[in-house]
Amino acid sequence: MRTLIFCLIALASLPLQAAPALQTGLNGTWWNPDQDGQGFVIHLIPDSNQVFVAWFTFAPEGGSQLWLTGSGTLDQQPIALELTLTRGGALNSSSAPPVNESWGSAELSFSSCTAGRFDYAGASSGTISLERLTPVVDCTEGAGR
Amino acid sequence: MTRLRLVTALFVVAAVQTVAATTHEVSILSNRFLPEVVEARAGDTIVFRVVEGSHRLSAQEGLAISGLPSGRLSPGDQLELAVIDPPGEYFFLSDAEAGMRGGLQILDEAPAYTIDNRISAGWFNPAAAGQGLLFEYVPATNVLVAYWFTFDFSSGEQLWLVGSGTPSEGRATLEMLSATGGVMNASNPVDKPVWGELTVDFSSCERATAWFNASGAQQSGQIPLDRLYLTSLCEQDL
Repeated sequence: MRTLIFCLIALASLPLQAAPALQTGLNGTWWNPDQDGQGFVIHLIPDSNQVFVAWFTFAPEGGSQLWLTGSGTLDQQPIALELTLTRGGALNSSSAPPVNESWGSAELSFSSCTAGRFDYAGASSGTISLERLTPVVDCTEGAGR
Repeated sequence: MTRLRLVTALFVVAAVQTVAATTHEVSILSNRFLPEVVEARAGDTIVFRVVEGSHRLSAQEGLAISGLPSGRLSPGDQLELAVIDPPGEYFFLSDAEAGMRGGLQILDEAPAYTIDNRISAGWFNPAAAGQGLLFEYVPATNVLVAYWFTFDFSSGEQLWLVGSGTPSEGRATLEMLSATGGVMNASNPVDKPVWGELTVDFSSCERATAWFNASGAQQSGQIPLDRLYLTSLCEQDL
C-alpha cells in the first residue's frame, strides 16, 4: 500500500518536469556540444504563430556545407517542421534565383529552457540532442503544454 | 501565447529609448592633452585632470564651450565640464604653451540605434531572396553573433558563415568563419578558416546595412537588410 502511494505521488509530481511554454525566450543558438562546428538557430515567432529553424550542418556523407531551413506552427510540442533545401543562388545577388525543394521533415521539442531534441527524416535521418549555446536571456521554465 | 501578446501590447506604450551618459577623462600633460580629441554627447561629462604643469583652459575664440575658461589648475587638480553645447566641433586651449590644443567633437544627441537583443531575428536583402542573415545579440558578453546562409559567389553551392564581434552603439564588425570538413550529426572535426569580415550598421530595430569583405575570394559588397519577423520585440522596453 505504501509503495502504491509513493508511486501515485511520483506520478503526480511528473508535471513539475513539464516542458517549458513555447516562448521567445527559447530563441537563439542551439547545438550538440559533441558536434562542434554545426548547429541550429531557432526562432519562435508568436506574432505569426510560426517557427523558423535554420540548420547549419554538412552533407550526410560529409564534405560540403549544407544549410536547411525548417518551418512550422507554434501550436504544440513537439513542433512539426517541414525541412527545405534551397540551392542554386548567388551570394547577395538575384542573378541566379535559388530554387526550394523539400528535403524532409523534423520534430523539435524542448524539455527545458536549455535542453531540446531534434528528430529528422529525409535524405538522411537521425536524432540530435540539443543544448542552448548562448546564455538564456529571458525564458520561464515550466507551465508548458 | 495570450500572456505574451498582452505583455507585448503593454510594452508598446513604453517604447522609450534611453542612452546612458558617459564620463570622458582627459589628462593634461605639460604641453598636450591626452587624448587629443574627445567625442561626447549632450549630457556627458568631461573630467580634465592635470598631470603636469600649470594650466588655464579656455575655448578657441568664437567657439565658446560652456564652463570655460577655467581658473588656474595645478597638478592634481581636476575640472568637471558638463557637455551642454550644441553638436559640432570645438577646441580647448591651455595657456601653458602656445598651440596646446585639444578637440571636442559634440555628436548628435543619440545614436540612431544601439544594438541590443531586440535585433535577434531573421534579416534579408529584399533584392536577393532565398538567403539571409540571422542575428543574435548576447547581453552577457556584449557580443553580436551572425549566421549567414547564402551561396558561393560563382558555383552556386550552398555556403553558410558564422561570425561574432563586439558592437559599439549601432555598429559591429564581425570576423566571419566558414566551417569545413564536417559530417551531418557526427562529431568529425571541423576546420573554421576565416572567410572575411562583415560590418553591420543598424539604423533602427528593423533596418540595417551590412558590408562584406571576403578576403580569400577578394569580393566585397553591400547588403541592405530588412527585418523579416519578430518585430514585436522591437517595441519592448529592455
